[in-house]
Amino acid sequence: MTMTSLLTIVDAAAALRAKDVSSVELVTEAIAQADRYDDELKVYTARFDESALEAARAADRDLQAGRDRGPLHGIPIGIKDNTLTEEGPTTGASLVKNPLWEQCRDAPVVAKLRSAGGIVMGKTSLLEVAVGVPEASRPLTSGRNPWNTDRWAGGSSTGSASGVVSGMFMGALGTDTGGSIRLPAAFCGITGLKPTFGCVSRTDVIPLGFSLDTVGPIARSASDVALMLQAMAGHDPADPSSSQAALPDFSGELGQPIQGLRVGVDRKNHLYGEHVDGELADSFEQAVAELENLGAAISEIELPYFKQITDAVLLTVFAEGQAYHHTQLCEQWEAFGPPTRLAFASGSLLTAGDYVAAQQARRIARRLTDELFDKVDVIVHPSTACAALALDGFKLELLGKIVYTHFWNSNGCPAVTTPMGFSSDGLPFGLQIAGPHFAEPKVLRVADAYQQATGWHLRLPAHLAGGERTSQEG
Amino acid sequence: MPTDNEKVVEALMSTAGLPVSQAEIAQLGELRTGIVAMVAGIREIPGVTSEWPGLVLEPDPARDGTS
Repeated sequence: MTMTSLLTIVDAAAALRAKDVSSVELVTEAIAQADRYDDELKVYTARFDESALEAARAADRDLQAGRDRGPLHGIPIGIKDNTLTEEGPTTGASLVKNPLWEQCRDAPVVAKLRSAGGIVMGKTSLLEVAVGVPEASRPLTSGRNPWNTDRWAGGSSTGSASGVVSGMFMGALGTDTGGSIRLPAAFCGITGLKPTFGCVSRTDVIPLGFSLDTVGPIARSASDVALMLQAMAGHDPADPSSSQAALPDFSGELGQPIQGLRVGVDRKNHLYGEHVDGELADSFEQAVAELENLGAAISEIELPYFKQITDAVLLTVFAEGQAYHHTQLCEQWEAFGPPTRLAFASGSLLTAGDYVAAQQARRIARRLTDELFDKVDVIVHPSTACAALALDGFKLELLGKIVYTHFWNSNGCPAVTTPMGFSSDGLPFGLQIAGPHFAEPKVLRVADAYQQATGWHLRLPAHLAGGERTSQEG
Repeated sequence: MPTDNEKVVEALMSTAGLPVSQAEIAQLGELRTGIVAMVAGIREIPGVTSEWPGLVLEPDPARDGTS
């Protein structure tokens, strides 16, 4: 029998309503998983065991009394520690002090999750203020991968991804400026969605790049991610970039066939670089073949100015990140980790004209990508060039060459990563599926169809699943 | 002796008010070389200088109903 904390949200929600399990039992088992594995994996920056149990007891009472808040009712969730919560200060996994982060209130997106019945289990680890690199001297920035603890879990939403895999919660909030939801989700073998820019409120979330930042869900399956996004999305007048568009039903296309759907495949920018793992390339070709088997019409496309747009995103993060953190950089330089402060200092190495040129390039690429979406419904490519990197000897330069996520931050389009197989040494690979603005239902429909056909998303590391399933099992 | 590139970096950091160390100036010098190359690549995109330089993801009423 699968441990209840390793269920999908959909299955747990059904079990709650069938009275096969209570929210208190789900939360208790999630706490037990944290007791077992958090010292090694570094999922949490702060745990809220007592308040979570209290909230679970209230959720059970409400359900008993017929007050059902929906599919997240009584479900354990994690919150990335760059997002304000009422339980305690936000750290950004940093030693830097910023009075704005000390405030104990729910960010609007957390309030929405809580209002939908989610049980906040704690704050999750990340790369310092969502940038930087894993640093051995700062363990909370170096979360280990549940599939192989010598490997990094990815970032910056490190603990949000590894905590889902290890059953410390069933879904988590992440943020994504250049891939910080999709990279850890891909490295950890689960599902992570960067929504359309403006879809989810960013108020009370520590900014990194204001023209790129998004908040989104990480969970086991496409259907779980859809449920979470439904609870998280919506207009926020306090966020100047918040969309007022009517929200779609993010689960609305799940289960529909993808017969005839036009799927563009970008091999040129993703399969031929020097760092591309041959096994990953094979897995990607199998994934494309599976989509074709499911009836999708496959065509070759090429994302416009892929390398330049990746660079434009990095330059934008340097400049916009420095703009936000400037006071703290001047006054608390030594409190920032060396890679973080150098990244932000780099914002002074480009001119104002350089910054504007990066934005001009982004506009051109956005327009050309919109034209691509007149010809295809979704675009697929690998999420990374290889599986999770080793923590020993970690090199920032390498990270920049193996991540394939920045492009979709540049133009604000939704993109999801879903597991697409494993390396011979048991590490997951990720398939990225992107669509036009507010096409999350279609993107998730393709991810769901692929997941139903392959089952990769349900694989669990053997030691976490009590030996029931392993990465090597067929 | 600092290189010309490092002297530029030191001046930029001083203007920005960032208290970088000499070792970090050397590291930033290397980063600046990379950034210059990135910007050069971006400026090679046809039409980039004549593109409207507003925010890329500014609200777009036609697309998403924002105003």
